[in-house]
Amino acid sequence: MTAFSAVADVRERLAVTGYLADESIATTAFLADRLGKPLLVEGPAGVGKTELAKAVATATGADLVRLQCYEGLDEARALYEWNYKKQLLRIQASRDGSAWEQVHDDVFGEEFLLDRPLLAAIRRSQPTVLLIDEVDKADVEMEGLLLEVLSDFQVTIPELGTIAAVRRPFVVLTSNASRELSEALKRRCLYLHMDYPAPQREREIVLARVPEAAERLVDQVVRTVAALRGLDLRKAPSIAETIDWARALVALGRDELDGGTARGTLGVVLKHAADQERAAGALSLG
Amino acid sequence: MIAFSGGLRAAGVPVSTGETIDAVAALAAVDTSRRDVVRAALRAALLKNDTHDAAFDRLFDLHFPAQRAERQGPAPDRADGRRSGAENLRDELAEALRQDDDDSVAVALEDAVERWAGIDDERAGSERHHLQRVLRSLDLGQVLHQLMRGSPDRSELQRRLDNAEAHARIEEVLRLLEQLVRAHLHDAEAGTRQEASRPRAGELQDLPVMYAAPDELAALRAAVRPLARRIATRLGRQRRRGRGYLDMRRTMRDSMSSGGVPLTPRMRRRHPCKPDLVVLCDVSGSVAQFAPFTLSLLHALHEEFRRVRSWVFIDGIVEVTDFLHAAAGVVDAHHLLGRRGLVVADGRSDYERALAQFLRRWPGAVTAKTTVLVIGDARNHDRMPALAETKELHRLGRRLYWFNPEPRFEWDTGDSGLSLYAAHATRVFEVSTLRQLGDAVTEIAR
Repeated sequence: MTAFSAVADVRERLAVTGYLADESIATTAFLADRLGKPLLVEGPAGVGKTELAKAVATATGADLVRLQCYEGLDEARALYEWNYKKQLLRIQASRDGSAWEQVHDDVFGEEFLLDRPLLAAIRRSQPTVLLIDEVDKADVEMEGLLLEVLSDFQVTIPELGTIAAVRRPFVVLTSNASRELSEALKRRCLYLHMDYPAPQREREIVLARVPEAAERLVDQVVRTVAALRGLDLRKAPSIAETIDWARALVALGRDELDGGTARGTLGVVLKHAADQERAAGALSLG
Repeated sequence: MIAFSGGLRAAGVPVSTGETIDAVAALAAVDTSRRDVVRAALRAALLKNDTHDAAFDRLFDLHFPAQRAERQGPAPDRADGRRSGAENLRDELAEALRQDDDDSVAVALEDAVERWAGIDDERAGSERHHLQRVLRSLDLGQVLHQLMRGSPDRSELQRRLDNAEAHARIEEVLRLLEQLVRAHLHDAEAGTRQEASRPRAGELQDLPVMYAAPDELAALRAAVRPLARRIATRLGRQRRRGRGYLDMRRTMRDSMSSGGVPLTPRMRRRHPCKPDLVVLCDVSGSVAQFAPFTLSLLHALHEEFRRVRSWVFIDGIVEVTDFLHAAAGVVDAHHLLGRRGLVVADGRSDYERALAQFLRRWPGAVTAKTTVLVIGDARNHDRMPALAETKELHRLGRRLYWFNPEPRFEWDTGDSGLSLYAAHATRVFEVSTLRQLGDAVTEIAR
């Protein structure tokens, strides 16, 4: 069951949703779909990792199921949970003499199972994109949990047995590489390293997203952002911030970026006071 | 394909059989007549770490050579080079860079390496040697100059942007050149020596900071912030681990609303203890290289402590808390060393004088809630050790830890009196590498 027919097809359909993929992104996304393997996307913050999953979902008409990882995320939040309160109520309700065996089987039935994103994605029969966002933020134990889901697309629940995928979801994992992921997890995935786009591609992205901006302005914005990324900043500006900046300048009615304007609107792209000062110094903004 | 996987493994890239199968399946799925698609497909299936990029690219070129239609053979190039020399090539390179034409840049650089690196010589020198030869002849400074030249009436911002772009391009060229020289050397030697000597992320953590070379130091600097984030995560987890024990009273009280059935168990919260930290850091010659790392790491972690105050000392002592708070990233050692009051006598570390001065000038800094952290090699240059002062600090504070940036086997050798101090410290840590530093900081923050 594949959603894309060729690499060029991926490119075109993603472009329709406003996501301009370069060759390696398109190829890898195509392969993830064709080989039915999860796609692990790594790269700095704000290069469009999460956006890729959303674009694939939109392009293929699939629903997006999202699991946002954070430290302390556990099985109960990611996979499934027993509806404890409902189970208690069931037991309370049957106090009057129904056999223990029956109750015992009852309370571990489907009715008392709460789907969490991973299980939900697997049980869906419609096309699904499963986005596991910021895997590196989750604890190492979570990775172990993901292994079964990602390699066999199944979940084992001790009381119920194994639930296999009705239809394989398109899985995207994103990571900011704040910690090294385990080899076992990586081995099961296709890997894509995303970096900040080349100026030419970024220009196209900004033009696609902010069509009302003058080409000259976009060119200057993209070049300035590229220069900012070259500085040793705490947080380099992301693509989303470049787009925001172009929008902000359009809102101000500028069709050209000069030093004064750049200094005045620097807060759109740089969110640390120290970074702003540094950038202003290096680019001698007014 | 199998040979390619084997090559990758030999270059230190872990490739499993499953991944090789994926790669073959991937090749079957894509249009193999396009080289960049094949490259992207193989990269997605085989590479799981961007540090292996260089090895992959080199091997890919080796196993799947590109057809260079536009490139003339080396012989006419060389004859051409005799005539017009470096200038021609420089112009070519500058023009290609300005046009963002990667292929032409690659061709020009290839020419440069072939012409000047002198790798055909009988005995191959070091990578750096060959690179220097190319750079000397090519003179990238001139290329940079050409790139930076623009119309005189452009704005200041425009000029700065052009300059930044030109610098970025030249840096890229340098990187490419380095790669090319390495590849050529590799061909000449058919060995993998260069590959083995590259520092990898895993090993970086275990590099003794005091003996790191300048380029390794740069890599270590970049590693401090991620390390801080990891420690914060680890600490958060440890503090949360075990949600405490059941709070019976609150559970029963809450069960009132559900008719006496305890639906939601209430746990007693554990209060994380955040220590107040006072850091006293020796920055004399022997440990100056290490000090910035520890101080910057601790200040990056300031949220994990109730408060962090830092002093640096040699034979005088000065407070640097505000300076470290304001600085982004790892500070430079010479910023610390330039402080007034740091050197009052001969500029060799004097623990006794520095610590005594600390106790005198900041009597309220250490309280019963304070964890005192002394960082130093305990080398006193044959002066009196600061035993009384250390004892006093330990008495005043809650705990006293000692970080020694020297490897353990050097402790107590020469004028190092570490074991004397150890008697008055809660614990002594060896912190010669970033990994040890991270572990030690986790330990004291708990």
